Amino acid sequence: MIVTASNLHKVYGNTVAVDDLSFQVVPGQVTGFLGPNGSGKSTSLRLMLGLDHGRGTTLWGGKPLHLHRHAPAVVGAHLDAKFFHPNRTARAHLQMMAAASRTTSKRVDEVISLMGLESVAKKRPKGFSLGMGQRLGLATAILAEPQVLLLDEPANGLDPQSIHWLRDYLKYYASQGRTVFVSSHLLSEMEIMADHVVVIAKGRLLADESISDFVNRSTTNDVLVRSPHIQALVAALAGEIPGVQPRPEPPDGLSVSGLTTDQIGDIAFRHGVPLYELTKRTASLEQAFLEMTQAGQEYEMGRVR
Amino acid sequence: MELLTFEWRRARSIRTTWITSLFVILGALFFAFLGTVSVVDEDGTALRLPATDLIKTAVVDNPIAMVLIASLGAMAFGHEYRYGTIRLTLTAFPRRPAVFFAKFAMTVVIALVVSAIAVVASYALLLALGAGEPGGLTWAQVALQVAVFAVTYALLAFSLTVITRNHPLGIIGPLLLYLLELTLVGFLGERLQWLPKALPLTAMQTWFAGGAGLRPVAVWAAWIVGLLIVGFVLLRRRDA
Repeated sequence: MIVTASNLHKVYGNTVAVDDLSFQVVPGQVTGFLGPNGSGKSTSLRLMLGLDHGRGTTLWGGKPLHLHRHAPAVVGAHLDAKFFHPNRTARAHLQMMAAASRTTSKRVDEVISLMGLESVAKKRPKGFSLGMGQRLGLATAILAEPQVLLLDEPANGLDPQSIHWLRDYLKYYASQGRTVFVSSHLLSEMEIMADHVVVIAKGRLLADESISDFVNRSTTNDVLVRSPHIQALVAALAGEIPGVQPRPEPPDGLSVSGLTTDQIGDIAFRHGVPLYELTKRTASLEQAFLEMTQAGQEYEMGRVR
Repeated sequence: MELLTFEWRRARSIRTTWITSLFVILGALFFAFLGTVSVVDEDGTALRLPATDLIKTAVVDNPIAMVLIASLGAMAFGHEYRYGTIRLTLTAFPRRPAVFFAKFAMTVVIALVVSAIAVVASYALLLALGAGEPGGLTWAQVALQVAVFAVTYALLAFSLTVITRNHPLGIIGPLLLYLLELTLVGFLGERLQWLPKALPLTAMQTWFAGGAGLRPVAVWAAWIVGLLIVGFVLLRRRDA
């Protein structure tokens, strides 16, 4: 099911939380929703679900959510790890949501088992850790096996094993032809988990593309070259490609941006410069994200020097 | 249908529903008992007050019962807002009017069933204790009055909770409203003689005491419907 968000817009007082945001989330892949704190991710998710009122529309398979006969089969959402009645047991919570999603007690048991909630199924969430709350929230979201999963920071508070499990599960879920839209600030996880990213800052869309395209746009992509004749290599590069500005990387390396390894290798060969290493270095999602959102940062963070 | 099932499971799966319902019934029994032994004549002999009057006082017409019945009404939306589960509910059921009416229906049913049990239980106790015969009203009339009062009072708490999105205020709000009315009537009642007739709980008390025909019920009902409409509109228009 394709989810199309068009011109989402939300204002709180004088603050524009979401500013004319449009994007599409397609099935068969995990789409990450990235943005700095306060960038409007959670508000956007609530607007998509119709929980908050604002301008714009979100179509779920071509229809607004409220026009679907059975919304739980369309979207399963997990927005917060604390949205439970503290005195309703985990199992009773899922039984209650099962009534909404027309699912059976057997499915409730399946989900409890899948999420590793057996030991706490009869316990009340008031004593749950953040990680356990996340599991119960995820269990609620997947209960009806919806066409779309919409998750807000689902990995917060999970231990490394659970994060690994979550990553595999979401990839599996998407591979079944379903749509997965996940917001997260754990960029290293998102880099492994997501195929596509929607990046926002100050409520505005900055990028809506595949992870590889997003990362390749980063200016921190470069080529590391090591040579015993580094000055000769710099001269050769400057002679053939005007404007290229290699940066030295001691003891015997150069960082070259804007050229491919093939181009650098050919130039070195033509000028008789021996090379010890020629490595393409790709920016991480985190580097690309920081670079892109720097201008949109709501709060300037102190730089670590 | 699944929305009603959902609401039923939501209500039954928390202890507060059962404990509050139990307290309404036990409270009715306690106050019925108290009513039969506490009123004495000059010789110290217990007076045999009309059982119908005692039931009204025991089940709904005392501050503790009012708070407990308001609790039954306030929990439909109160818990949802207090713990954020309203977002789960409205994601599963994006049509807000349907959610409102399902909660409305569940509140009516719970208040009706609990008050009916309280009436029957206190009636049985009063018979066992040898309370006086029914007064001016029949048992059926009293049962109807109590049911109407319990359901509408619960709906008052229900609507105040939707409007304020505050569970404790939904519980004590109706009682505060009643105290406010008493204060207003005390200060202004003589100058503004229409005031007691126009205020909701005062009007309801008049009907409950068996006076002024159905006009007080109409005033009371108009207030309840008005507050329910305000709550309904706010639920539709506000962010969850």
